[in-house]
Amino acid sequence: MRRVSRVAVIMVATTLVTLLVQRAVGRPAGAPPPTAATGGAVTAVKMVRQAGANGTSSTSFMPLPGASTNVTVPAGTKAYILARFTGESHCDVTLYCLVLITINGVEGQPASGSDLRFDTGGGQYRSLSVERSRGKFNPGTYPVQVFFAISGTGSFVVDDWHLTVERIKTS
Amino acid sequence: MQRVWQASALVLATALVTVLVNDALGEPARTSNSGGAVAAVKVVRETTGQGNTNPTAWTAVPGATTSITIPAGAKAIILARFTAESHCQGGSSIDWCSVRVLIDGTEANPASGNDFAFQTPGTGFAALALDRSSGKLSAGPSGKTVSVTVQQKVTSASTYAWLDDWHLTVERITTG
Repeated sequence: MRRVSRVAVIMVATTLVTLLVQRAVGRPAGAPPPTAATGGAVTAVKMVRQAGANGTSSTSFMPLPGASTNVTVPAGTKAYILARFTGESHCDVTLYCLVLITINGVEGQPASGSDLRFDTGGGQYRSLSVERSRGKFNPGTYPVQVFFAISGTGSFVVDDWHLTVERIKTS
Repeated sequence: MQRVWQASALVLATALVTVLVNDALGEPARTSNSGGAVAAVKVVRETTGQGNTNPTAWTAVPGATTSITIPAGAKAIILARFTAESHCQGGSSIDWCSVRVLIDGTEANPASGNDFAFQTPGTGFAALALDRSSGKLSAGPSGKTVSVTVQQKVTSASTYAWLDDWHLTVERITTG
């Protein structure tokens, strides 16, 4: 019986600690919850890739040259658009290097703005990625564009990148 | 008014630096492809870390290979995605650990060759990723089995590449 009590005390204590830790590091009050979407088949894929570098020293988001495409949603259908960007990052700045993807001119979800630190300054090279999605979209043609920027001062170079954009069927 | 001039000067200077940086980097080789539905997906994954000492030549990442079949008479684009826990150690500040994907025996796009740094030494452990894709591949009348292989190398014999907990995803995308 004493053993059962000990186990119960440990379980309650563990739960309490977990809740306190989650509260301490969790979402700030008023922050939006995660968003979810469910789609069907991937009905179209577009790929743009570049074996060469582009750089920026801008603290405002600038289009990453060439990292764009359009996705058409056919008549009579609806779709989600999912975009994935991978690239070799060289972040030689005092703070952070930022990447953002817009879908039809609006930042894809999760729309983190300059809160998404794609890389941290330090001048190292590494192959990083980010995925964003939006929808549902009615029939039409929708642009997808990758932007990049820095916070602080320095330069951010993206090389050998691959942009994959998928059209996901939905009802 | 002075503030407006200062802001304008800052914007122009930033634009100038961006243009100069891009000019210095030269005009990059860019390719694109459009496909239809994803008709098939294959995945291979591994939870055992594998170090590779001194692979200064391209060497297969053990197990990171698969094949995908394009049906007779069809065309396809093959898209491969490789994610892994990476640890690139040793070497010097000018070294790096590289990864590439071969599709049907040819380096997939962007075909960066030795230029691509998956990671540089001194950046600890990190879950990194790359997407690579082929051009249009034709199956011919009897179909075509396309091999997909991940390879790695380092730029100096004193650099050590470690890949763990990796996942290779290969998609066959229909095209006309």
